Amino acid sequence: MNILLVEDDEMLRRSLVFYLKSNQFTVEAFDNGSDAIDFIKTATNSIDLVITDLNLPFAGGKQVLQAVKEVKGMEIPVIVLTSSGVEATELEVFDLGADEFVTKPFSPPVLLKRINKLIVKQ
Amino acid sequence: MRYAAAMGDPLSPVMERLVLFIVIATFLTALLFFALTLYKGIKHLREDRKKAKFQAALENVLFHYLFEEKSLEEVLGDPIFRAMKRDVLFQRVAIKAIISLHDNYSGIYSKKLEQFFEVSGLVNYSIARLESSKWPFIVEGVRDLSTLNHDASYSRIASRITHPHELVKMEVLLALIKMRGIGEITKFQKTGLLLNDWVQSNILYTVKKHKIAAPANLGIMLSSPNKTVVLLGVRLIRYYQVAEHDETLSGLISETADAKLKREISEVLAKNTLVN
Repeated sequence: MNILLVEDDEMLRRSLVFYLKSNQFTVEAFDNGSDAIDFIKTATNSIDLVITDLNLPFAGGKQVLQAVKEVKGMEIPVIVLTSSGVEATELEVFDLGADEFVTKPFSPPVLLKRINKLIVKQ
Repeated sequence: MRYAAAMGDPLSPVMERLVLFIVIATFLTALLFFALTLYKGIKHLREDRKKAKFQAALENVLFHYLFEEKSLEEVLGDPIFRAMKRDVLFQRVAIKAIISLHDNYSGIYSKKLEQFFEVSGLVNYSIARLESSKWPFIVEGVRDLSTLNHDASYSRIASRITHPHELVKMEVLLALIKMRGIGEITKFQKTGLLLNDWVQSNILYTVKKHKIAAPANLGIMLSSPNKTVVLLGVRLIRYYQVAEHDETLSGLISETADAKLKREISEVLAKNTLVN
C-alpha cells in the first residue's frame, strides 16, 4: 500500500513517515504542494492514498486535493490534515472531494484507523 | 595646485602616500569582509551538518519511544544519544523537535513527549534559560517549560512576572494560562499589571490555540480596579459566549466613562441578545 504524504512541518512529516512505514506502508513524502502535484501527475499508478496538510507552500492542500480528484479512471482517497477547527473549512474540504478530515493535534492511531477504513472501502 | 594637477604634474609625496593608504585600506577591508563572510559561511555549514546529525540521532531515539512501545529507560540508554545530549546545540535542536511534535500530537503521545523532556534531562536546559539574566533566554525558558507542561517549574515561572521587561511579563502570563487556565489572570486583578491590546490579543490567541476552558469565576474580572483586566474579562465573555454576566455588563456600561470599554460591552450584549 503506497501513501503520498504532503506535510510542510518537518518533524511531523518525518515522524509520520516513520510511523506509517512501521505499519507496513510505503510512503512518498513531500514538503510542498507543487512537488506533490507533479508527482501525482507522473506517478498516479503508484499512489493508493493521499494524506495532505491544508496549508502548504507553493500550492495548498486544496490544490493537491483537486489534482488527485482530476486523475481519470481512479478513485484515490484523500485524508486532509489541518490545524483549523473551523467548520466552514471542513465543509469546503469535503465539497472538494476529501474522504476524511483530521484536526491537529491528533493521535497517530486515529489516523491509522481512518487509513484502514478507506482502504477497506476501496 | 588644481591647475598644476590638471596639467599632468605628478602628485605631491603627501598626496601620493594618502592615495596609497586609501587603496591599501580599501583592499584590506574588502579582504577582511571576504574572510569574515567565508568564516561565517563555513561555520553555518558546519552547524547545519551538526544539526542534521543531531536530528537523526534524536529521531532514532524519540520515534522508537513514541511509536514502538520501547521504554524510556531503554531508549535513553542509547550511547549515541547519551554522548550527544551534553551538547548545548543538541539540547536546543531536541527541545525544538519535541515541541513541534507536541503541537501536532494529542493524547498519550503528547504526554510521552512531556515525559521524555523531563526524564532525558533536557528540561535542565530550559530551567537554566529561565534562570538566566538575559531576557530573551528567560522568554525561551518560560515558553519551552510551559508548552511542555513542566508543572514543577510553575512557581519559578510565576516568580518571573516581576521582571522589568514587558515581553518576559507577557510570556509569563501566557505560560501561567497554559499551565493552570485563564483563572490565573484573576490573581493580578488588584495589581497595576498593564494588559494592553497586544498582550490581550496574545492571551486570546493562547486561549483559542490551547482550547482553554472558561473559568467559573470569569465575572470577578469585571469588578477589578484594573481597567485592562476588566476589558480582558469582557473580551473573554465574548469569546466564550457566556450570557450569565449580562446584568453586570449592563451595569458596567452605565458606570464607565471609558469609550472603548463601553463599545466592547455593547457589542457583547448585542451578540448575546442575538444568540439568545
